[in-house]
Amino acid sequence: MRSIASVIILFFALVVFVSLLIAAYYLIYKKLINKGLNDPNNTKKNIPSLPSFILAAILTVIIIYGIIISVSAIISRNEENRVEPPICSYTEIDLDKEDNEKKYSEIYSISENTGYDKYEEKINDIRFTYFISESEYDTYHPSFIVFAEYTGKDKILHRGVNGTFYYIDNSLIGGYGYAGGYGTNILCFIGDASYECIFELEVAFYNTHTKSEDFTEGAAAVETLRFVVD
Amino acid sequence: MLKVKLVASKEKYEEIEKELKALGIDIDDDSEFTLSEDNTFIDHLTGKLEDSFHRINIDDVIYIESLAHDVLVHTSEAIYRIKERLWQLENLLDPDKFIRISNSVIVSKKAIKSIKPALSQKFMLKLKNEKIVDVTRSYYYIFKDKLGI
Repeated sequence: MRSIASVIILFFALVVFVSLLIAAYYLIYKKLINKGLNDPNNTKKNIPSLPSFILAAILTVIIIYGIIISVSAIISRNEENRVEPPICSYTEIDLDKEDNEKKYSEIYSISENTGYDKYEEKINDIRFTYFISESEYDTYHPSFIVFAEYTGKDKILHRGVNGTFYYIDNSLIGGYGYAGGYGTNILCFIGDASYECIFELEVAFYNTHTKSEDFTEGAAAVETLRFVVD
Repeated sequence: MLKVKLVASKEKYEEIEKELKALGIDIDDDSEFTLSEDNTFIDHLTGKLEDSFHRINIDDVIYIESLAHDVLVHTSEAIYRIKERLWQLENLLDPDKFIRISNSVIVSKKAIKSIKPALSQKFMLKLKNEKIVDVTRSYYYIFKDKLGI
């Protein structure tokens, strides 16, 4: 049973049901006993008396009510125990690597991906093209795909990335911290979110091999994309 | 001389009457003592209405009630006062025709017009004279059993 309201509603529904049942039996019983009175040869013995019927009806309903509540409580407890921890994660696919990872990246296109809604956002020198899955979360397909493309004139040598997940009310779920390294003009990320949340991706492109603690320092372009995954 | 009320079938009535008289026992319908033959029931009662006594045919009786020290016989025409007590009547009246429904009431089965069940262990009987009498808790199952309901 999910809430006390459901329990109360069920209780009153059963009370109404019992009342109707008793009212119906009252009419039938009255008819039967008067029929037996007028035609003694036609009497049928063992008609349960009204008090017996009321007692039986109330006891039956109490038992049914108890069973429903107990079963609901067990199912509810099992469901609660079965709740899987939410999944919120992302990873970067290096498009320049000449290994299997590049092959994986070829699965996803910047122009169109079947089963995904496409969105575009250009912020200064960075164009974000991202795709959000149209269907419910599953373990076989990413929930979202993001391409971050540097459109400026500099030759990009280095990149910095910082991804963070938030609940819809903007409270923090978790971040993955800064990641960086050799960079190209276009980056690709795929991620999973098993429930509705906000994904924030901060991307920095550098024309030098930066080694600063602050990954935005000296960047040719730094922009942040934020979208809801549902 | 000792007096008894005799309740016996017509065939045996005179024979028993003779024997009782020979024993010095007189027959008197107003006696407090009753001598009755098994499975023989009275076909009339003697009731007092105002200052006169009347013969009440048992088929005319709707119900008999005990009220304080009086036992009243209700018919469609009048209410008579009788000497018999309810417990005596219970044995004198044909159980196929009469049924006791409470400590103070015996009703004629054929005078019951309708039965209204109550939510508790009670019935309310509407009689042919439109009176309503209750079957009390103590007599509830006896009543159900005898009427086969």
